[in-house]
Amino acid sequence: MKLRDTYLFRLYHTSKWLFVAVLLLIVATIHTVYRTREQFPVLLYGMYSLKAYPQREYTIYKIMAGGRNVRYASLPDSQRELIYTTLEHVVAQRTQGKITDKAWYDFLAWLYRYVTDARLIDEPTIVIKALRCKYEQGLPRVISEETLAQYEVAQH
Amino acid sequence: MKWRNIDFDYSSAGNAAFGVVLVVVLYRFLSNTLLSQMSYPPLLNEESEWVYVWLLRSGLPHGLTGNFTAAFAFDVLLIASPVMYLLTRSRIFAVITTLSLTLYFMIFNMVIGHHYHGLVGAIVVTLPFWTKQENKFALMWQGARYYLLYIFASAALWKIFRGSVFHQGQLAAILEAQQIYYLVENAESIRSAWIAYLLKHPRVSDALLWVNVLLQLGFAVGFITRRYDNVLLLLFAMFVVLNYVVMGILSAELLALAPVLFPLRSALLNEK
Repeated sequence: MKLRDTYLFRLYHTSKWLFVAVLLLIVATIHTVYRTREQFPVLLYGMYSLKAYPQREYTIYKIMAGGRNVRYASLPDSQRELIYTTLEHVVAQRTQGKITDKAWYDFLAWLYRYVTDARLIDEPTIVIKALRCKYEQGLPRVISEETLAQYEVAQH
Repeated sequence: MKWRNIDFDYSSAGNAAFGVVLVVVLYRFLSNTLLSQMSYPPLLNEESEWVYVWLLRSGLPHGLTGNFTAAFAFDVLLIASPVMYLLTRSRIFAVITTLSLTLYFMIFNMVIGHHYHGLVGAIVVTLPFWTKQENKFALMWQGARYYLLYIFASAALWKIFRGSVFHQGQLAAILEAQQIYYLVENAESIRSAWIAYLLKHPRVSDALLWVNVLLQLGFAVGFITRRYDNVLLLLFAMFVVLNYVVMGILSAELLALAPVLFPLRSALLNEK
């Protein structure tokens, strides 16, 4: 391939601005790969590339509204992310003492609002439970269930 | 129909790109995850990436998520801009689509406290339409194609250089953590039996991981030649199916980048 047929060469001769933008993106990406810490809009795509190890136990969360489960498996991907990723993240922050009690109750109030507004379940209370699980023969078994929080509309 | 007969010009590429973006945005709407549907989420997360920090300090995320009228107006813009582009072909709607989608992407990530990349495909595919000059468009379209190649080829290289592809029981360990919600809720389903099989047979799941890494690595060929883009499109489809069957992840939003693998009309590429 001749130099004048390359993408960057043609870009340079078509638009200097575009050429600079693409070159900056390439350099920033190389720098970000070296630091292994992304900065938007320079993104890294590991797609589960970190070494993973099986754990002795796993903790998952169950959201109950009026005694019924907001089923993780029945939610579309973005809704799973909105409900369960947020929940896991906020619980971790609370465990580490990074958020105040008020922020925690604001979060519970939001979770209640979202679950009811989205018409997933129309009930006046939600309960969040933490489930400790252990794998046996390829399937998880729930070994304990603990109520993490309860939110009732009348209380707040 | 021959592969080379379905070449894209500016207009058909626009139909494909903005059609797919519209589907992505409507799917988000149907999933109740647009800003006005989020029921005023509190933004509790500290941001470390400076663009996110600046955006948070600007007050825009709070302004949009905390005010239904503003959020609703934004969502209307998010849905209407690709529609308006398809109807008018006006460059301004391409720019608005990219910017509104990027803002939505960042605010969504701020709310959930995790920086997912799913919507990047839909954002990148709109960028070439910021110009109407065909030579610039063709180069930006090719740039979007290179970005797709980078996504997959780098995903393979990360797994190789971090050694995770050589790590015994890697996929089984990922699945244990990633599929646990599904398995607890649906212990009796066929899909659960399939996942349990993969967990009990780590050599099979490791082999599947190798298939995935080789498939992703195959995209590196695209940096050298466009001749095999039809094969890459097939690999892309295989990745989406495998990702769904094994990991339960619907990569539909990443599929928004698929149109860049369709051949551009050679006149646009200024090639003989």
